[in-house]
Amino acid sequence: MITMLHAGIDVGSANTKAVLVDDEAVLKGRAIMPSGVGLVASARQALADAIKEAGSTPENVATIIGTGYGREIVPNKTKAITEITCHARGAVALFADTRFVIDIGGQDSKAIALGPNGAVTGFEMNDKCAAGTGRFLEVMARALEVGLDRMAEAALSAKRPATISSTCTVFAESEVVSLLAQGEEPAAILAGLCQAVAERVHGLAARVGVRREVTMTGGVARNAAVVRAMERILGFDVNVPEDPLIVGALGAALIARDMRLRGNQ
Amino acid sequence: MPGTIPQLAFFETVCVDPYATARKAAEEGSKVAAYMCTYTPEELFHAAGYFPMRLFGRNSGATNQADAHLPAYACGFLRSALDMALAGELGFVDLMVFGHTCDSMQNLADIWKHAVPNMKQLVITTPVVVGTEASIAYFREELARARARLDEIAGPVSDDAIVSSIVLYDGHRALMQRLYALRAARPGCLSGREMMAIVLASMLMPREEHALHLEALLGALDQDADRVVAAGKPKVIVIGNVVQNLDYAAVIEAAGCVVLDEDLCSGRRAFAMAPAESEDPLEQLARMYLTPAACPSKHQPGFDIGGALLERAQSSGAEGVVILLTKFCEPWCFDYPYLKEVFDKAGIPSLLIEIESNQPPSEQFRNRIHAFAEMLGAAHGG
Amino acid sequence: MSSERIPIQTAEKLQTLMFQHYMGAKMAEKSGGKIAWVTSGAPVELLHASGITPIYPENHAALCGAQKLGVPYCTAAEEKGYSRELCSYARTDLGCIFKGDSPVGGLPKPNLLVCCNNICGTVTKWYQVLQRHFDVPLIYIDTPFQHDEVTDYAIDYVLAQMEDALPVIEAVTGNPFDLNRLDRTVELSAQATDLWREALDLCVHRPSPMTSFDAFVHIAPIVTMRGTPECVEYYRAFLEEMRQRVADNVAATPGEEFRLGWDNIPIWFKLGGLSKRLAQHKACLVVATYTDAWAVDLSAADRTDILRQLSKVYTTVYINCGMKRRLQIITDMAEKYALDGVILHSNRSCKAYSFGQYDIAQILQDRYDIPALVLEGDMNDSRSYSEEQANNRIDAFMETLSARKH
Repeated sequence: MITMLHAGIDVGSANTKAVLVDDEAVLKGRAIMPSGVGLVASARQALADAIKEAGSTPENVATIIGTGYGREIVPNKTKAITEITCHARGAVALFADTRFVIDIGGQDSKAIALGPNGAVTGFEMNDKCAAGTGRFLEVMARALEVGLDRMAEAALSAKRPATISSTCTVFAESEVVSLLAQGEEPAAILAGLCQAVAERVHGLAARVGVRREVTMTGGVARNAAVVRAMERILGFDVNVPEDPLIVGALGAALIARDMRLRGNQ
Repeated sequence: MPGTIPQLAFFETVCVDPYATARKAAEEGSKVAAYMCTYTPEELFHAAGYFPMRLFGRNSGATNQADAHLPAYACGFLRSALDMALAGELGFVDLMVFGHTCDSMQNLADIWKHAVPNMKQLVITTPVVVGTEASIAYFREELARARARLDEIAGPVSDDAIVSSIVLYDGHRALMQRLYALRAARPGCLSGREMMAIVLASMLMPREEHALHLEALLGALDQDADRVVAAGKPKVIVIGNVVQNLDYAAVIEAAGCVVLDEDLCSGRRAFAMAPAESEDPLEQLARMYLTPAACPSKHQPGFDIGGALLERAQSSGAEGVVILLTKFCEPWCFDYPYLKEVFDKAGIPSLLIEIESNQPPSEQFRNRIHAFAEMLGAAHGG
Repeated sequence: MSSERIPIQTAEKLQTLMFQHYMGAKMAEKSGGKIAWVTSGAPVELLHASGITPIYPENHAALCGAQKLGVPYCTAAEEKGYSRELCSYARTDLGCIFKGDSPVGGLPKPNLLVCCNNICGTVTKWYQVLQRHFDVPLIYIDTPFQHDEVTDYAIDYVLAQMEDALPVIEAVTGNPFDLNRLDRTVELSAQATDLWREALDLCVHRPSPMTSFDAFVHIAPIVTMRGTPECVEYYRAFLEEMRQRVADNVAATPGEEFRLGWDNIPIWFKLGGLSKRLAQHKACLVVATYTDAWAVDLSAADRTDILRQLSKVYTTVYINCGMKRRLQIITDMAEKYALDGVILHSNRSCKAYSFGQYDIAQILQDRYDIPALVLEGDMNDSRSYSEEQANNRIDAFMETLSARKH
């Protein structure tokens, strides 16, 4: 018997993620690639790669849910659903007791409150400025000539975080330059920047009302320094998925599966 | 498919190029008085022979010239209006009228005077306090000063002329109240976008003409008793300050929401003046305009804005409240936490989105509305 | 002339006085005295004359800001849903309420709120929030903005509201309002504001005996304690010291070369830093519209109708007047104090004070040949301030002033 697959494709500002699950909600394939300028092509390619990883063929993909900023352009989609709903679903699938999701992505951050049944009960997103997003860290990493992947490690090695008073990307960049000029350690500055992002996003979360358990998703959840800073502010540990980047796509795939099963009833 | 009603297409046309009607009227010899705040007694200017038109700024585009006069933390509403003046797009306006509204508007009046020296200007310092005899008495005198200035620049304004303008505007407001009542009785008979076009058109065209179209529209809606253009769920109400771009309503409805009602500065609050009695038409105007208190820029002892807006939401049958606030609007931002608390306690989900009403809806706006619709939809189990 | 800064001695007295002010209010609360929270431009004389202790949330917020504690309190308010674009004084004080503490251990709870919108519309909303929170009477006094000439009916309106305030005050104290006591209180206010003005006027002297940074600190009693004998006593000592400094030719900015004016509320968390930066350029801030705003004229000659006098004085404060009058005041200052330039602080928290500064700066330069610098900042929220950018602008401004001189 052929296994039917359900796809979630998350077209984000930086990366496009595709996830496939089967009828039993088991993850069968995944793929991540840069979104680039050809969003449609990226979505197609990510799906193709995921199908390949699943060892399956396109005909076996029964349902496709598009999510993320480019959700409307996902080819052959059954439906487009926002990443708020998808992140919530994905986070609950990975950590069943999740009641709150903090998603820090490339260009926005979100705080999502969930009810006991996993349904979204409230949410907040950052305003248009880049403070408290992956983009902020990216710009700062470049200013400090540190690879994004090494940022957390370096930040965690700092004895204490430097104080970054501004979370505005433009202001913070000049502040970083000035801290360097004053002889501040790059590691301490990095730690300060990670702390600043955590504080900013926590402000967002507090407005929704943080409740346990908290699961962090999105690319910045891979940055252990931001996660530690968030835990310090919250006063308790948070869940971090093994691959926080694909949580939205996973949620989309699971919603695709639910729709299919409900439709077949 | 619901039947087409020609008036709806007409109102939409008026909004597509918001100032075309006034521009054309000016070319044909009308004197246009532009104002920005709903607490501006249009009747007085109408009586002085003006075509009072509400200025909202543009619906999109940069504001490079205004940026030289306003800091980055000024709202887009003021910024865009000033930019139009600086860019020479308000040549058809004969008189610019400022109310008090808020700190920003108050200072804009002076900036405008300096930066746009060739445009005639009249500032009415509306009281901040609403609903007290002292504030009405003050406002009456302030209107008398405005009238004296109008006497100078536009010729004498008689009491009789003011009285007939009040009668005209009262009549129009009564029609608008009929429309709001009809919409409440027949939810979905007009889409949010259609309603918004009707409302905005009234502020952009001569009131007597709008009243004629409005009567025809009410008649057509009575004829077409089964008209339903917005059906299903979730049902929402939109509250906030100035939203003059029809696309905002369109995006909310494209996300699957049905807009049942609104409480907007660019909406029903512009028709909230209650008829008042007085021998003195200026006192009558002062009383009428100082009755409604839903605007957060005002202070009315004992008025509970949370309770008032909750009642509006509940009586409309809304399942969710979309709060659209112009970014940097201090009066509204101070009230927001309380409003959220009130809606939360009543079990009505609310969504705050700070918008730049002089820009088209952003991608993020679309995103949040979609997520909110999904959230409300999930509550239906759908 | 010494190249070292000679500190102002009265500063020690000031600390004690302000400590007593906040502690006194706490004691009053404990012993059943009545407390009112008031805006900085409210007719506080009505309260002193009734034995009600006034407390100034704005001054309290500035105190938090000067101790660089603005941000954590602002954050606490933001977490409750108050937008980051709101006034940072309001956010700081609301944050103190939500957190239940502050550098002075929190403010005593009010029995009465008194809000006068002559300083901004922000306080209207802020005090509405306070009223919902504390559920106590609110006296609200609407002082119509004066775009051009002051109108009598505007003063009548303010007067009517003052008269309406008296029964509210009587209900709080349980005693009839005593107009004679009001007269004595206003006399004390008048003495203090006169002394304050005299002290500020001494800055016309070259070198100036104090900088506006000093005045920003020493303004606290005139804001929070005018109408009391302690306030008069304090400014008598302060004026005395300033006179002595003038006699001794003490320079607040050693080697004073440039004399500058300041517009808007100070950047409280950067008082020290900005003061040093300007001192490096041998520039002294000698006058500020902010400190000048409390040097109001309450002269006895106008005191025949005391409530009317108060109505007029409180309606015509600097920030309740239009650009024409503001410009007039600044150009008068430029002449009186022989200014080389003016710094206009574009204060993100205060639209009422800041909108129009770009035009004022342009007019100062084009029409009066007075160099003007618009400096972006915020009175209490350091997150809205870029030290690097600010220093850069100040340095560039000073270079242009220097080029004009040499």
